[in-house]
Amino acid sequence: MIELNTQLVFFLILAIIAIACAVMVIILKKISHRVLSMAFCFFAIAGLYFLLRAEFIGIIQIMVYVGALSILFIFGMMMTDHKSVGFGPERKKIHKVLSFIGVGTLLGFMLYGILGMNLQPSDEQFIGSAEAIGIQVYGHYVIALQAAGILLLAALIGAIVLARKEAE
Amino acid sequence: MVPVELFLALGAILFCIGLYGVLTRRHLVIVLVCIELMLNSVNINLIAFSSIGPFANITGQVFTLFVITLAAAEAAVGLAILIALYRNRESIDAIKQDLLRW
Amino acid sequence: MIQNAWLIPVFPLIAFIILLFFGNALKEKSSYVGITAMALSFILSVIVLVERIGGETYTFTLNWITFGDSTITMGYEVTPLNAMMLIVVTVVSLLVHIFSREYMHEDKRINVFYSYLGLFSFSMLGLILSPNILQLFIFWELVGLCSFLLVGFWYFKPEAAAAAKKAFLTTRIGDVGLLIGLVLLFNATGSFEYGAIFSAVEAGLVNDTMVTIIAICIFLGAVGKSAQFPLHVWLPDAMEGPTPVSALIHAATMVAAGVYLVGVMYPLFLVSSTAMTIVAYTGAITAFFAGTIALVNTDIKRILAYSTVSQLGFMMLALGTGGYVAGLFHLTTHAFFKALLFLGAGSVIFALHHRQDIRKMGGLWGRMKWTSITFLIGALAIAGVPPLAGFWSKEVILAAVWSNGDMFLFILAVITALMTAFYMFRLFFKAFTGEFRGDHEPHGENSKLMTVPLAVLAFLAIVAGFVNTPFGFYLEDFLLQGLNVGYQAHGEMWLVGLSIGIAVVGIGLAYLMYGKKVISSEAIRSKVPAVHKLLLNKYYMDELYQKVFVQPTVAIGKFFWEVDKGVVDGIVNFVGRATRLSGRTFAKRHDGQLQTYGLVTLIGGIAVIAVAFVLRGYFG
Repeated sequence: MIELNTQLVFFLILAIIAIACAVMVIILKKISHRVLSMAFCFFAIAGLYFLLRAEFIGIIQIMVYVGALSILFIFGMMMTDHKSVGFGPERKKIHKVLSFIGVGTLLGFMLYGILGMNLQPSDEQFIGSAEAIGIQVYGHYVIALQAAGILLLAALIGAIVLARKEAE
Repeated sequence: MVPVELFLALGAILFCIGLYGVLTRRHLVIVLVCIELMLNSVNINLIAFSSIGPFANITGQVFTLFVITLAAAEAAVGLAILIALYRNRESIDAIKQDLLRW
Repeated sequence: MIQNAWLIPVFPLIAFIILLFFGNALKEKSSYVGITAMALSFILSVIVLVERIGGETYTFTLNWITFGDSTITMGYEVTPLNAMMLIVVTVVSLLVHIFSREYMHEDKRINVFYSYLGLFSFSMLGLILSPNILQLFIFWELVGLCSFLLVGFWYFKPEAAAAAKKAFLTTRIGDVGLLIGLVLLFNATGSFEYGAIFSAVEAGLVNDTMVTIIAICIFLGAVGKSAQFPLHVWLPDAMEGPTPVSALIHAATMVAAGVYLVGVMYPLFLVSSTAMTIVAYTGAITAFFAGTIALVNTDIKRILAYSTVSQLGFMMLALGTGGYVAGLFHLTTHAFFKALLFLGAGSVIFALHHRQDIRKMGGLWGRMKWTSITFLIGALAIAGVPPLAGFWSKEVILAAVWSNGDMFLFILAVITALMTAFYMFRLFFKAFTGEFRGDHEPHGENSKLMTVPLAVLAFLAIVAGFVNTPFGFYLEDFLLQGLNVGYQAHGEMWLVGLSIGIAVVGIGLAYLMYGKKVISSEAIRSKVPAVHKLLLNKYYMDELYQKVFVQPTVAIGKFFWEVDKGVVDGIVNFVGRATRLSGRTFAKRHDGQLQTYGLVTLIGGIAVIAVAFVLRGYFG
């Protein structure tokens, strides 16, 4: 069995937090609580990134997900009918059961594959510095970067157009 | 060192939780949240391979960056759609959005 | 001009096309279109005949279809036989066109009538000009179609519609025989051309049994078209059509097409004595059989129809006994006097406001001078009184039958000739002499448009016979050019005497019974009531066909209809219902819910993965 060390302990703590928060996103009643637990889940994932020595991505994760997206979702929640959850008839039980079975089967397949993979781990941990990422992004992936910029611009404009109907 | 399989397993679990949420939750904001969750589980995979995989290199992190960009854009547009939808149909209950029906 | 003989059928075709498109605008004026076209055809036919008398057979062909070594051609040719037929058809058709102008003028669909007449004339002339039997067959079917259209012209009368259907279906039986004959013939000789067929047959390339079968099949077509026993049943019913149509199609031209067909294919028949015998016996039996029915019938047109059947039987009898010229000669003369009789009957019917029962006529002699005189000429001609046309042709037929040596046939022919004279004059005396017995007085003589065609036909009925008399066999010489059809019998003196005797006895008997009324027809009728009833019901042929063919066919049809409804439709409906049911079921699942779709996609994806997993392992 895998030998227990500090990294593993941290991994398990973070993983359990992430899974627990993800489950809470699904089962909690109030929307604001759900969004909050989502933020915690992302936070835990950011912790995992630090554990993996990907500090830059971890910081981006905290900034974008925990910071921006959570606020965005809270705004979205507030601007829509956040009290209307539970209105109308529920989904049929069979739908939930089937979803659960389907998702469970998928998970089973994936875990079976992952655990049976028997990968050779690399000897030492690769440390992705911000500099290395910058060189790659502005060098090899510069076109993709431009495309991502255009995508963000389009998303910005699209979001404004879709949401600003009142102004007319 | 934590074996890479554990990260992958965590990613798979989070992905499945997100998928279950997408399939069953009625509040469309939560559906979007769950989609973010699924994207994040993918990011975990990418970072794990980039850091401690058999062929560890920087590409995984670069791609994570792009996925985050994508997720941000998607969330923004998705929420804008939700707001427009709410304004037009006065509900963001997934069950009531059945205009695609026969 | 003989090179342009193809124009003869084209004129009526043009008339037909014009009337098809502009008929509604032309209305009554459409008759002028038809008459003009027929007049042009007639003039051309006369020119062609004159040129042909002094010239050679002209043939023009184009390759139509080539497959393998065989070529099917289209074209036209002018032989003595069809030069003669052209005249007959165009004369009768022209006169009928003129006659119809008056007869049909009250009908709203007169333009349609004339367009049909045009189409018929085109088809009939095309049939005559055909240089091969396949082309003949095409036109053969076309004239059948025209007959159907014209018999059913007053389709709103149920009898007319039924008669048209009957005519079409009955002749169709014969046509199938003809088609089979054609296929066998092509198979045996590799050609549809008359000349190639005959040379192949005469060279003995086709074995005797096959020739007999082919000849019988072709004769079957003639039986249907010329209303020979046992397919004669349609012709009397076809009298439901307008009377000019009866005169043109069902007396002079189309029904003669069967005789013409046998005449054209005569060298083939000559090879097979069996086929000749069958032709002769069919003709004789038909002639006798139809003659007896005509004795008791009371409908003026139906009497003439049975008389037509009987005379066509006579022609077949002549052809079957070797009298090639005799049969075709009778065809010509018969066309004239029978058209005359029909148009005369049409004139009477027109004057009597469409009443056809001879028991309701009488005394028309004084009221309709021209009609009466011309009708009398026609009756004398058909009865065989010299020197009218019928006498000459009938006398040659009797000579041919006599020279054949079969006493049974000869006796039948003599009796039939006797009956012909008798029933024609029964009709004449009943309709034209004595007191008027109808309820509506006739409005007197019809206009010139009707009497002039009658007069012309009467003239032809008188003189047409002179082309082939013992004083000069012009027609025989003409028709036999380049043909070897064996010895043509000519009457001896005693036969001439017999012919005249038959006519006189028949007419005299009719005069005594219906003119003078010294012999009571009632008395004869009451003596043999069974025979009278049998004849009155036309030997129960219709009822027999109804029982033997129609009802079983209908029963089979009903049975298959049920099978179709139950089994075939059942399967089809089941498929349809199952599809609709499954569609409805799946449509319910198709509820527009994004998450349902997502779930279904997920399950489908898992199923794919599972299958791949089971078949190929996890990573393939």
